[in-house]
Amino acid sequence: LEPVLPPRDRLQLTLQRQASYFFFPFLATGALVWLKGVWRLSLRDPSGVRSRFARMVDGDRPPLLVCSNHLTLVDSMILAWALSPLRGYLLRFSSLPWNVPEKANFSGTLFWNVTAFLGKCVYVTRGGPREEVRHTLLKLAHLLQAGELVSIFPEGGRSRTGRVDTENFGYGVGQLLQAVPGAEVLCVYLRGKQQGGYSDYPERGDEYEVRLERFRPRTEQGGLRGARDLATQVIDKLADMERQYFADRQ
Amino acid sequence: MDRKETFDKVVEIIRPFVKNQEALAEANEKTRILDDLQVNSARLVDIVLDFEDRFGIEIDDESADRVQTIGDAVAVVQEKLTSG
Repeated sequence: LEPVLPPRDRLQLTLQRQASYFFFPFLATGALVWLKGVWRLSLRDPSGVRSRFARMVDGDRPPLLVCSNHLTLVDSMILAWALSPLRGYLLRFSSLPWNVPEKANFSGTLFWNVTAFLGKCVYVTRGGPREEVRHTLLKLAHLLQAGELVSIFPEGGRSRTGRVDTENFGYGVGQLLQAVPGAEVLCVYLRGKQQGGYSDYPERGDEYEVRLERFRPRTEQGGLRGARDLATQVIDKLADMERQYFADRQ
Repeated sequence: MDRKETFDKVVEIIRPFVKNQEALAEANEKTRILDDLQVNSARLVDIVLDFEDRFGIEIDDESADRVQTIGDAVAVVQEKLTSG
């Protein structure tokens, strides 16, 4: 996979980024009202998490792919809220991660299409036609090479067990890492105290803990074996973080 | 290796990934791996890699994309065995 995106797509992503930046204060305010006001969610040690995140994305750095566990439909919103205050994103908009939602879940209505466009989203069709998936990978690789953060859920969906699913994950994250040599991964373990298994929404009033670990997956293998190897390393890292999380809670 | 032998071996390789074991018991070459056998699409990669290991062949991406049914898998494996 050569990370070279046609000029038309590059222009489209640039325009999307500009539009997203312009509307970001409105979208972010709406999201904060929903998360904090309506759902009454809170974060554990937000300043500590945000200062660690800022250090990780400041200055010269390799392409950075954000990989998180996935338990609710609004994890992307919680993740963005947890990693930086609004002014941090306005000063360094590349640190607001692009998201990669499943097309079938979000492209049904004009509202969601506009929201996804302004919310730095690139649709993916999991298990879709090869050319379509490859096109999405090219877009994401281009964004990473351009210094943008891209956030994906390497499990491919919400874990049905409520724990990081080390059995049923896809290898898309591995293919993306292969397309961007030298890329590092920022693993984010995100969980509400009251979260049991997976759910559509968090428990009202829940307090979220966010843990960050940055590493560079490596493999000697190419092709599908290499993609599998890289994806496995990312999932194993998230599973380790989860084990630590529960060990610390006891 | 004749087609029947290849078919049996392909079915054995697919078996651990199959959610619908009843459909596998009645499988034929037209059986669709994802839809009929309810194999997770992400596991299709593992199946292709297992074909490579167990048959001692290499399957390129184009050929891997052709694998929709058990018959497709048998055809790809036989093609690679013959060309190798």
